[in-house]
Amino acid sequence: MNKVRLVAFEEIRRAVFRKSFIFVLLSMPLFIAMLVVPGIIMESLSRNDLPIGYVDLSGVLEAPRPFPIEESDHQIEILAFPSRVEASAALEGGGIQAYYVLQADYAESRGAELVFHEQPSSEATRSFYDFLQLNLLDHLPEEVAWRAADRIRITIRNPDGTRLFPASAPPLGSVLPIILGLAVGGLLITGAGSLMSGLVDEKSNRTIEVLTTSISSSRMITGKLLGIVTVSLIQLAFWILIGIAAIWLAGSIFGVEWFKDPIIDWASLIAVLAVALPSFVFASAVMFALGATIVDAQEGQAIGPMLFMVLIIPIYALLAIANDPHGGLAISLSLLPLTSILTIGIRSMLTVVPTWQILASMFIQIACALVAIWLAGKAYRLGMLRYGQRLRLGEILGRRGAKART
Amino acid sequence: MKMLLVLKYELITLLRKPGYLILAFGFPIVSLLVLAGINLARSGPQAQDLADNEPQQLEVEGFVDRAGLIGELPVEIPEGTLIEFPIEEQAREALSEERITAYYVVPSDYLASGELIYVHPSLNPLATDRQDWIMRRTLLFNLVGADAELADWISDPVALEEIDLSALEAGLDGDCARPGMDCEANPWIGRMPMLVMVFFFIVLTNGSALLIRSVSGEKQNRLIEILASSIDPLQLMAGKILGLGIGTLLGFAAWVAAAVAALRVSQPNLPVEFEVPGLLLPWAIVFFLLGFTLYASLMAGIGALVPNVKETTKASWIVMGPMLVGYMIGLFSIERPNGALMTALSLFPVTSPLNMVQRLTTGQVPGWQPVLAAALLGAAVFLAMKIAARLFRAHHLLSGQPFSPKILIGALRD
Amino acid sequence: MNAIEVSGVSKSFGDTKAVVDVSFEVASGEIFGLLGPNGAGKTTTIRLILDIFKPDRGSISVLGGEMSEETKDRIGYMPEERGLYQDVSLERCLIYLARLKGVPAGEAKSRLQDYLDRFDLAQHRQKKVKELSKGMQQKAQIIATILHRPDLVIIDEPFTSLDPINTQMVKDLIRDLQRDGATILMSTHQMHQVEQMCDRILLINQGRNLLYGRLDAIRRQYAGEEVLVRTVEDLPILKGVESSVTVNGSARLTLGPGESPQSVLRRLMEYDLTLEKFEIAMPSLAEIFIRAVREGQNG
Repeated sequence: MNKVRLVAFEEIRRAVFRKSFIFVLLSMPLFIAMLVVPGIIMESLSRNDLPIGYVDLSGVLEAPRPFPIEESDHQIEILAFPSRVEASAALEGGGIQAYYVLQADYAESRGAELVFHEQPSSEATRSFYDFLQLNLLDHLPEEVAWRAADRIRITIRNPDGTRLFPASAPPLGSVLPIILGLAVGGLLITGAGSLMSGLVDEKSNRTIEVLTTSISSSRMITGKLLGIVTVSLIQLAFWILIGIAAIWLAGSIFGVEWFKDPIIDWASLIAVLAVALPSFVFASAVMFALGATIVDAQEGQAIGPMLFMVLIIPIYALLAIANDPHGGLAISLSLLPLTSILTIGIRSMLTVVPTWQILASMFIQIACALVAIWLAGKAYRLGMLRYGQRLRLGEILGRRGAKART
Repeated sequence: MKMLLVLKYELITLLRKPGYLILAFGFPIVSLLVLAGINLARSGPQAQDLADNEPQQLEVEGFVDRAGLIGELPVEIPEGTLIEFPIEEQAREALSEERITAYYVVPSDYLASGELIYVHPSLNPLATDRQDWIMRRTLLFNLVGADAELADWISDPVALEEIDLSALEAGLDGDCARPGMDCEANPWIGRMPMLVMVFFFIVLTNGSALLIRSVSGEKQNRLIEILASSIDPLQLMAGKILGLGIGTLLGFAAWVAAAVAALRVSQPNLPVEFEVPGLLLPWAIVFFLLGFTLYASLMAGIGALVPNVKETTKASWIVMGPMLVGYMIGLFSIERPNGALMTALSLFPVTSPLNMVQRLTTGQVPGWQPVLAAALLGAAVFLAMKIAARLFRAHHLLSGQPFSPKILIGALRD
Repeated sequence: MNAIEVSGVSKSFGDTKAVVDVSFEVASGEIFGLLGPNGAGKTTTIRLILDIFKPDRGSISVLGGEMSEETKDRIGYMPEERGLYQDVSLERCLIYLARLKGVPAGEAKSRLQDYLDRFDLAQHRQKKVKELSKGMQQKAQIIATILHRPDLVIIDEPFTSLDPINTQMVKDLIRDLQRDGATILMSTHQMHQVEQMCDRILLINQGRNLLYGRLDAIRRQYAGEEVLVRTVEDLPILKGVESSVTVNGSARLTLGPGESPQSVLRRLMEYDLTLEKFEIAMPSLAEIFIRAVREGQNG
């Protein structure tokens, strides 16, 4: 047991106690920031708050009714022009983004023109439509007219009432299980990848020969897996802290509504973790086996993307899962190794995943992990000291081939 | 000339790599076949008829009106497709007995909030089989006083004619005459500039990464010393850049050919006025060649400092970083490809191979800009080659030190 | 004509002086040993000869002139760090390297056939290099060095990590090459390996010339300080002998300063002993080296 601890500590020390671990820790937050920040910047740069103009040749908008007070600050300012000439001058002068012309026979034909250099923003067109609709209904009380003009906001609810899903975007709390699944998935790829490349390294610089003569392969694997799991948990904890900080920052400091007071669904988060941890061990053991059989680092680099492809299958299947969160596809993806992490995250957003499925999935992952560890041990014993030659699966599984070669 | 030998060797080795073959040729061919297959299936006469004649199948849904707004149903809603339930209990029961597929709840404060609840067994907001227009219509119809004509008017208040002054000035006919987000009718035309840019990014990063891997691979395999005693390092580098460049160009050509063919195959779906800007292809080739030479020389130079293939990923960030900035900003600028920032990026040498090509796809770039960008890029290529030659020296090639920015700076100084 | 002429060459890397004022000549057709301990500057000297590095000072002439592309084609070089393309077939790798040395494709192919047969690699020609065993890769490396029939063969540490069979093979090959008229420069720190092979040597230490000349002459120069004596009777204590060790039944006598083997022999005769053996002990290169270094430090 002592040696297992030694190997685990060595793995941890090698991963954690070095400067580049800071980059590893910050990589995911930085990556997300890199995706989000330019988006926000571009969004604010390309935001067009210029007023939108109109020329009413029909008389429908004579003495127009303004927006209801409580709605007016969401709207783009709307300017009336007496004729095309003035409107055109304003457009060329950069005072408005575009202008509408309601034709003289608008009341009969609804004919209108929209004149612009660049397509006006959707906020601008929506504001104008709201304004126009409001005035077409000026015989109705303001509240009714506004309700008819403004868009209906639909919230979808599942029949048992456990999940709400506004049509615009799911609430933060429902997305968290998926984010957690993605984070563990990312860790799984990097962690298992680094385990494998470390192994290929040890193999290529022949340290492995010293190691194999000092410690049994099963202890070696146990130690390395323990080490990598610990390192990844440290990373995960750090990312969660950063995530909490980011949510707090966005909600409480920048006042973004979506981030305020998230309702956290602990059961779903725990379900994701319960499935993700054994999956992690499974993937690491598989990578370990591959590292033991693979010849050089270059081949090893191709494995990571393949793992990623399997992991994100549930994202491809998102629509199918969402259409029927209790269907056959959703359940089978929840039970299979690797795909289970994100599937359970996605389903948690849409419905309550039955406990038996989570437990079943967990046991399947644990079983798979154990088989993978056993396989990794065999692959390691057979493949470690063989340079330049590939190990075949048959050799790992079968006895005869192995004996013939060693 | 030994450089030609290197060129030939690198090219043939590349052409034999399965990974390269799949990415460069397999992928475009397969996607083309898939596209052609889809098109064939779609253009089949039977499929066409079916799509036209099939009446839309409406599901039976229910609603609970707590706000008391709904007095009668509009006439155009078929009898029995929308059933009122006085209380939600009954609606839920009907749902569980599958007499209805979903039901709506109009909250009592609907007039103030505008929130409508849609109880549906599937939460997918993107599901295509939704028929919530029936409920929207019903609500609107009742809000405007059961006046069908007025409801029509409100739901579609203008018969709009759009007048795009810029397009008129450029002599273009309609929104979809040029690729760009102005074209709302066809998402492919709308996203074409972005797709072209993404494609350039993929080809240029993959292509130039071949260089850094090839050079550091020779370092790792301890070949560089034998090579250095057989051939001048600069010839070796030039041979590699040309050989791997031709390989990348072949892949590029295969992709372009596949894209053009795909466009031809799906021609019936394109608006009549659509045409690809005439100068796009020649400029694209110019920026591709210059861009590849720029990135490839830098990658080869940095490769000379990287002792093994594993470390190349880290080292190539020095070249990829600035490129990635252009890429990200390009992605977020699809709505406004001709803004000030994009114009600057499309002139700046490191990002111009991506962003200028992206803008050129829209066909709305003043003629002098690509010329200036190409000239600046040419100057940058010259500089990059000088830097690469400086790095590609025997004592860097022979050193086994791990790569670090410090080493790079040191190598650039001496 | 000399195959290599190095005169007054110096090379520094930053503050490290790798080679300082080294001069030597390698005559055409000889086997020349460039000897010295690890870090003496052997590899740097070779890289300077090969024009991989440029000297800071001094001049180098190879095969009758400055290094050019044509000259490179006439040189075969086996660096200390051995390597081949791992991911391509053995045949393609070797033909490419030969063609870089200016051998036409067809000729490279037919020559390669001979060498692959000779080195027992013929059935592995289509295998990727990384699939070959270590010994096979070493043989392939040797083929890569000589496939273009170089006039000058430079081998850096020829025997590093070779098994005895391959070591003998390389030795035979070097002799064969010499017989065919090639000049050979080899560098090593394993001095006992080259003792039997080299015509002339240059011993360098810390980047400087230490000893240079014909191997037998150098040996003679350092001989005479020890003699091997075997007598029937016990050996008496002789004047002028500092110490005596018994080696394989003979006494190895180390002479004191100013003494010569002749004077010791004369004294032995005075004792009227039955002399079975009297031989001047030739020092090994390693011993010469150690002494030369020590003298260099003292002097």
